[in-house]
Amino acid sequence: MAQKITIEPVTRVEGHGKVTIHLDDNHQVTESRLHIVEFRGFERFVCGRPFWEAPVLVQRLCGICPVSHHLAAAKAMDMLVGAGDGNGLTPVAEKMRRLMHYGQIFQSHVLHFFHLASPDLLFGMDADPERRNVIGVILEHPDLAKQAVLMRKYGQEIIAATAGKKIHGTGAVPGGINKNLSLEDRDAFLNGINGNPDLSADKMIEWSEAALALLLDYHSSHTDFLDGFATFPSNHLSLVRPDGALDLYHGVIRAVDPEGKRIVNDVDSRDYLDVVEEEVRSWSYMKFPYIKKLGPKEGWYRVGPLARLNVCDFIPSPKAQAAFEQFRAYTKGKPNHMSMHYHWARLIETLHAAEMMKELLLDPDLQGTNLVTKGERCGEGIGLLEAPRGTLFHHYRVNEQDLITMCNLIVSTTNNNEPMNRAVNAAAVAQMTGKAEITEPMMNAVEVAIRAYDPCLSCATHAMGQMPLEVTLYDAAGAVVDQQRKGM
Amino acid sequence: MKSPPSVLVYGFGNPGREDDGAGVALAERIRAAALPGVTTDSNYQLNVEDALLLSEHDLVIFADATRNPVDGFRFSRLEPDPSVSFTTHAMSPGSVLALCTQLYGKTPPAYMLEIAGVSFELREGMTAEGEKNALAAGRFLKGLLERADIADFEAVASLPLR
Repeated sequence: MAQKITIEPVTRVEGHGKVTIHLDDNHQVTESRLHIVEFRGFERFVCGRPFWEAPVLVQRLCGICPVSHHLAAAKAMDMLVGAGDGNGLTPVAEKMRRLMHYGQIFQSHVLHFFHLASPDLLFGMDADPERRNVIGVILEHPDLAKQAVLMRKYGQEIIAATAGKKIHGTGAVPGGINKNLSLEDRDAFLNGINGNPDLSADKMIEWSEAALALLLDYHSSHTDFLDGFATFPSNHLSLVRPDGALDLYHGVIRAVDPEGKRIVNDVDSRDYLDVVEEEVRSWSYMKFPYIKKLGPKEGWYRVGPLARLNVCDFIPSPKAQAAFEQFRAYTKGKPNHMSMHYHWARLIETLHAAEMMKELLLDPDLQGTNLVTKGERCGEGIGLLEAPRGTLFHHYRVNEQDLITMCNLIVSTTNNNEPMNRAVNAAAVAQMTGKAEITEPMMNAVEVAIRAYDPCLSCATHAMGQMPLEVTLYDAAGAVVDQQRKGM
Repeated sequence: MKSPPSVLVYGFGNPGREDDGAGVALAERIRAAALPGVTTDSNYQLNVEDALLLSEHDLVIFADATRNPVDGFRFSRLEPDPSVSFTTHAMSPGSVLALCTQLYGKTPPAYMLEIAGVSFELREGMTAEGEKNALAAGRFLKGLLERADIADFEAVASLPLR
């Protein structure tokens, strides 16, 4: 008798969604879907507001990744005020924004690895949930946990110093930035916040290297799991610097196919609508983007740390570049399709962000006083950047009264919608085939698959972050055979 | 002369979602009052690094909007929550307190000030009722902080307020 399993919500994933898994008469998984069931029209909310409010307004979307939205909107506003499309700002403005962005990447990646992923890695997916969490990590690895707290704090302090404040930061403004970095702040970040040498730029680099070493050590003893879990071929898309370097703040759009062949060849970010289209499906509020010329069936792609390292040619910081070379060598230069290797890529980017923060802090341009550029006003602005979870698109049109008339946002998790569905399916096939009862390890396996992408479903659905978990097993006739819930 | 205890008032929530900003608004009012020994902080959500912040204070008060059926506001003692409610980027106050205990060996007395909200949509500004509740909660907390006696917190937290 065919069955359907529903998982809703997922506890260490933000947002509101559920997972359904369909089994056939022989208890074989036939299909899995990640449903997004809540929708709030944020794009409509922004319409009618003065455009210069957008970089602050978009932070209301949710409180999880306000900095990424703040900067993407600011980049779009740069175009509107004639300050270029990512290349027209003064040095102090661009570098302050980059410092803010690397602070955001750093703190988000650290949180994701240490507090979401590491419990699964350190204790195993089958471990008791009472132990398989951040408190469990603290009890067994207190020094590691303290490092993670201080790394998070460092990134957050960088954000506070560059964005101006923690809530509704105003650091980036159309055409630039509203303050530079004081010498006092610079010295504190370089030598240790509040005189604490553990909160210094060099310590962040050292601990990032240690985190990467920890993962590689784990990989050496759990190779089959990390390489085999939710692995499937896909296209990969991200921004890269025009010379092919990893660039998380600005670049051209590049995508490669599963073999590494270019399928989008360094397209100007203002032309994103020539590259990407979105499909609507009846069972989810989240759209399914795809590369236009390949169509929805063949054109879906992954974004985020794994995709970025598959797409770029090199990383412009020495320690991360060495790690990148090891990462690329592992798949003999071909794209890496292993979902769990998102964590490996994420830690390489963490190291890169730490190196970039130090490099920027040492740059005297950050104390410059030429903060804003203006040029010829136009009616349309497009801002793309690489947020922690992947490519983020912001697109606005404004009228002659400076009011926003159109807003289109494609957030990172939306870009990863199809891959997340496939990852969930892969986990379901591995864990639930032939089973008629839902167990905690089964539920966690599905969560682990989603967590690899670090999704932000609340953002993708424009809803407040609430994500309980329910698993329901249906038979062929649609009757409930088993149901498990947690976090509700 | 006895110095006042180091008190942290931490308001969290998203002011861009109507009454969700009640905790942040309250923390702002307390900051403006400039009470001796009292510092304030605010953020969209609580997170792991807040455990370090907690460890640096003698007493902590979290302020947040609530959808629970609370008559105006509610003040209660907070205990460490080892169950760890945790999503991608947010922790509960009890989880942060547990983290503080585990990491730094300190459990400062901590209290939760819940402010009743009625609407949490994408809109600037609180509702009239949310604003009224936040003002009342602010007056209550300011009075408590002005006395600066930890024993008072314990006494009040164990009593129904309204």
